[in-house]
Amino acid sequence: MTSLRPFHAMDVFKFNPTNLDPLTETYDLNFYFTYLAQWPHLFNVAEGADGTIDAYIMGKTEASPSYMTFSEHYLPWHAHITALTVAPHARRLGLARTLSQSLEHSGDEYDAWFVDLFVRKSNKVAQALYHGMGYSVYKRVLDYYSDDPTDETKDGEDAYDMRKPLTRDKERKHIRKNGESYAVEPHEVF
Amino acid sequence: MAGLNNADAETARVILSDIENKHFKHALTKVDKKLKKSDSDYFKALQLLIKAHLGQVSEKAAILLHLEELVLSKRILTDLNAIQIFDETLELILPKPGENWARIIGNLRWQLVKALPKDVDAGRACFRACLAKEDYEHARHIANSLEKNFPGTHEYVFWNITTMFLFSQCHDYPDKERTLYGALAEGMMRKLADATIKAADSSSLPTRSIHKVQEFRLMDTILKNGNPEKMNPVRLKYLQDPFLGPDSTIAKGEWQLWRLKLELLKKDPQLLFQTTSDLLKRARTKNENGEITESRFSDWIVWKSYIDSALLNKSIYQGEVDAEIKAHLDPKTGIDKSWRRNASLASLKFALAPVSAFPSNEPESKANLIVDYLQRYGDTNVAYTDLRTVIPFLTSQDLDWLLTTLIENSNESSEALPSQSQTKGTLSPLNQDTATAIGIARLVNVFKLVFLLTSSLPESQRRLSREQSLQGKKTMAKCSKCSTSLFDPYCGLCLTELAWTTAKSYGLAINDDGRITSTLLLTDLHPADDLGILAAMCLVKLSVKDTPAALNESLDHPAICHLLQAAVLLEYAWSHSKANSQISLMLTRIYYSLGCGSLALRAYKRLGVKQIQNATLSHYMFDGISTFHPHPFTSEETSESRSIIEDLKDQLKIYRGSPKQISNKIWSSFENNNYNTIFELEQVKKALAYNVSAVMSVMESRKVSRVVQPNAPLTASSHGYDILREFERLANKMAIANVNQATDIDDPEIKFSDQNDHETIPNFEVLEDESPLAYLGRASRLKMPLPDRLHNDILADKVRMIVDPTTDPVSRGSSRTWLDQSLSSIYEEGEEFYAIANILQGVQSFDKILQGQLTEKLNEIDILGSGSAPATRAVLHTLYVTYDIGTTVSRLKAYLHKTNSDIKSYSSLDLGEQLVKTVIAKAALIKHSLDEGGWIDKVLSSVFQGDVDVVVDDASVPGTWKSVVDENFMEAWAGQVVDSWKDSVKGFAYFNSQ
Ligand SMILES: CC(C)(COP(=O)(O)OP(=O)(O)OC[C@H]1O[C@@H](n2cnc3c(N)ncnc32)[C@H](O)[C@@H]1OP(=O)(O)O)[C@@H](O)C(=O)NCCC(=O)NCCS
Repeated sequence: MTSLRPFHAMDVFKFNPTNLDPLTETYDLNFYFTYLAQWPHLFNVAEGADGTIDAYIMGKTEASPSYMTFSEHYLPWHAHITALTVAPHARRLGLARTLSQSLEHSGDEYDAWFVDLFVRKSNKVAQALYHGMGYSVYKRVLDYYSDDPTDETKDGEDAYDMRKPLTRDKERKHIRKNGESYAVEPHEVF
Repeated sequence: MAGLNNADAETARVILSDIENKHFKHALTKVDKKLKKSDSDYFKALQLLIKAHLGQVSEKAAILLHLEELVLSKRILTDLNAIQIFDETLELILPKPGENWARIIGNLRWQLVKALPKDVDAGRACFRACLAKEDYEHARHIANSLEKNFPGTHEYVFWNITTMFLFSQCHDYPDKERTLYGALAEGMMRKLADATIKAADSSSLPTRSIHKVQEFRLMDTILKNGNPEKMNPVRLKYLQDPFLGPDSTIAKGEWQLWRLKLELLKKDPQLLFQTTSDLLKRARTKNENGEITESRFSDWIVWKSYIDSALLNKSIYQGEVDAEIKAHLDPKTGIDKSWRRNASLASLKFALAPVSAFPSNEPESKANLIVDYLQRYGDTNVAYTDLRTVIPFLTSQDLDWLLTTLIENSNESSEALPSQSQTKGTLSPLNQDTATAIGIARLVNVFKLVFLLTSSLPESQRRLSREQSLQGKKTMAKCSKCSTSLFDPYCGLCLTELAWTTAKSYGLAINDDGRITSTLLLTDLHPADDLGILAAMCLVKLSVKDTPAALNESLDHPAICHLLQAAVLLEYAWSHSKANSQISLMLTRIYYSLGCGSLALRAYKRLGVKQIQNATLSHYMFDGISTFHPHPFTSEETSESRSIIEDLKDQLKIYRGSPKQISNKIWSSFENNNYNTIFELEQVKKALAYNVSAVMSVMESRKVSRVVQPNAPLTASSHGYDILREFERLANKMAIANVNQATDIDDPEIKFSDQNDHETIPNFEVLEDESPLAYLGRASRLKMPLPDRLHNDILADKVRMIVDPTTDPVSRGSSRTWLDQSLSSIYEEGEEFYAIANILQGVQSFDKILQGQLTEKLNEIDILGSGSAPATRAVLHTLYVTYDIGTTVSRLKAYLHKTNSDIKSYSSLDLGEQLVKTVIAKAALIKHSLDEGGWIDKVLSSVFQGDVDVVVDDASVPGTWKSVVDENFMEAWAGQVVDSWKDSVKGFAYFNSQ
């Protein structure tokens, strides 16, 4: 069954089904609660039969600070997927797509230009998911991650910054072609 | 340092820098000099702060008095910086100032706001400070002042209401006031909601009205807290309103409002049916661009409400429901698969749910509905979880049909090998599709269902019928699969057979020459994992049947043998699927029961537990560690050893750091106008403050210290005991409630918060039953679940503090006071420490009781160490616990002797030494036996020879093993198990008869 509900602060005691997966980071409480304090409407859970947390998405809406207005890296008002994770037992059911759609929906409600996210270069599954939903790579951030969970010998990995324009971006001015080849350093990313 | 002139600001900066660098004496000289020249609240506050830094205990009392006088003098301080320094000072002298804070600092802050009502920064800062200290009384005054003095600021209206509500929820305030402010909050909220409705236009709402969905949710939370009879209709009225409800502009599509509304509509099934019917239609309606934009209305809670309300009048709604389901399932409708699955499940539920006055389907057609569902969703992991919710609706006749059909179908794979020994009703791995990921996923669901139908379901039904048949006549039940008469709640024969059949299928799937394995990334799970897990689960279930009697059994006892078999199977599965946390969790628990501490830790470390997971998962490894593996673990990689106390200390970090973090986030929620988050965060704060896992870490740490450093003194606050102050208060409150036999205690705080995760461990039983692994944990660890053990743990700790010769006088004194005050309200009759505590208090009658208990302990360990048992968890636990009791009794004897009590009248005290000596002798025997050779062979023989009679596809268990686990792997693993046992008994070296 698929059922969505807002993430509740007490869910931090219940999210092991998703968070024990090696691709899902468990942050300190401050991180989750910052999102709950600021963007509770963008933090949602997909619940399983007996209330198990099958998946969740954590997002925010923001723009770069005004002092960056004239920088080429300035980000206008947009929605951002900070974390999206589906418990291994609930994968391939469409939950990730459903949760991302719910964030897009909110992005439209709050008048955002686009939704964006970072994904590991090696995470082909997530890239397939986002491509399938109309996202494309906007830029590549070199060594954005400090490790590579698929290869213990490496101590860094690039990220793709992927974007999907929302209703507001009628002229599609916030996406670009061949973003994979547009490389930037991590400090250039807001 | 706003408000100071330049010169003063410079002086203050120098003094503050001295304080920061801990040059308190210099700082004090400077402040004194400054104060000689001119009087200033700010510098007086600094003077007090420096004294607090320098101060001894007596001086701290004087500082507290000084602060109290500040309040009593009724002089109003208008220098916020000065108050902030006083605040810091109080925190320094009383790290947990509790109500002193509200009385002193809270009051000063509120007086300041009252004096400077238009100073918005001061108002906000003081409000924030009061919230952080849970001083809702002054916070409420300040919020009220902000609202009155800044009438154009929309958010202050809601700050005021939220604070009133927080006040009304806090049990520290008088009931009458709580009720008053609760009612006031509710009344104000309703007025604001009415104003929104009246305005009828979201673009020109008055300041005093609801503007945002989070404000609406605040209102609903407040109303929900009231009397449901009265409030639910009001809540529903607002949820139905076009300007406030889920379809309103202010709702911004917030799904939660629909959830609330559907919940409330349950009272009116007809309206619920109509509403959900409309939503399901919207969920499949396309817009002008041909897109479905409201698919979220296919949520399971919509379907569930729809079906539940239709079932009340099935004959009327049948046609409509069938058509709706059909429309959702039609691929042309274009509904995403995640939502479409809900329609399938709804169809199953609608067809299978029992309804009186409606003809029941034939068993065949019901079984076929399940089989159809499997056909559609059998390749997903959740098919089993879904079906588990509807299968209990079936009759035993239906279930028989289903079982036969499932088994037959599973053996009919197109890619299967030619049939060898296929008997009807027997699963035959060789005839199943174990070659493709989809085939394997389907098999996993079939095997789980067979487990449910043969072992789990009849078990729950039989337990129920056993209760029912206690009065009536009882006939012997038969196994639904093999028709053997059943003595146990389920058929052990069929479960054993299922274990090996599943293991065999697993072997076929996993040993695939890299077909699937080579395509997987390090972070991927193998599709066959659940076959291995299920096989191991069957073995654990078989073991659990015999566990309590297995304390002193040899390795080939079924209880131990089945656990060893489960362990090696899972270890092999882990070697193929390292990211599978369920395997690691199971292994942690199984190794723990087997007494293999180092292997349990290895499995636990693979989980990568961090941050808040320490509060939910650490119990798997650390609950009872002091009577299991109190000595340091040696790291496999670095060969360095790490004390358990360090591990436990790390776990306490989360409880120390989080209250402040959460307070900050509560403030941030106010600033961002997300009021509901505030109440959620309050809940987390309490859940951490009263967390059983925190008590566990502290108690275990103190117990470990008593074993490994018997002469290192413990104090009343060492090992994190300081964070347990709240617990003691609560433990006492609970004990008093027990004594008074109060049945309905109004105080929700009167509960420890058990946030331990028992759900993530695999469980294939019927929904309401716990996993055999949970039972295994209890059987081999400690008798009671964690929360129930807390009183006894705290009591035992106090007793030790009193009798241990190394305890400092202050700590001994406070433990004695605790015992004087609390013992009469504690009732733990069966516990040795309860008897010891009573003897300490001079209750003579407990001598006999203790004597009986200690004699029993002596008998209990007498059976240990016969030479054939390894050091399982049960053995280790018994030895350590007995040693602990023995040494405590000996110390009690010495203590009473020293305090000139009449120890001759207590004959139980002589048994302490005897207990310790017997433990030492038994420990030596066990260690000696482990030092002898041949254990690896014993392990291998147990694993190979258990269940030898079972035959799967013509192969016996040893033959099946050969096709599953590689022989070299098996041997290497057996060596690790034996090494781990040898490591476990190293802790015996701490036993000492002195
Ligand atoms: C990435 C992840 C979120 C996908 O979750 P999911 O619920 O299984 O994905 P969905 O079922 O919604 O899949 C949607 C689409 O993504 C693609 N996809 C998902 N899993 C795939 C896989 N294993 N292989 C190929 N494509 C895949 C498919 O196109 C799929 O559509 P389809 O099933 O209709 O063909 C999940 O695998 C996960 O939690 N991974 C670990 C955490 C992570 O990587 N998060 C992403 C961080 S940016």
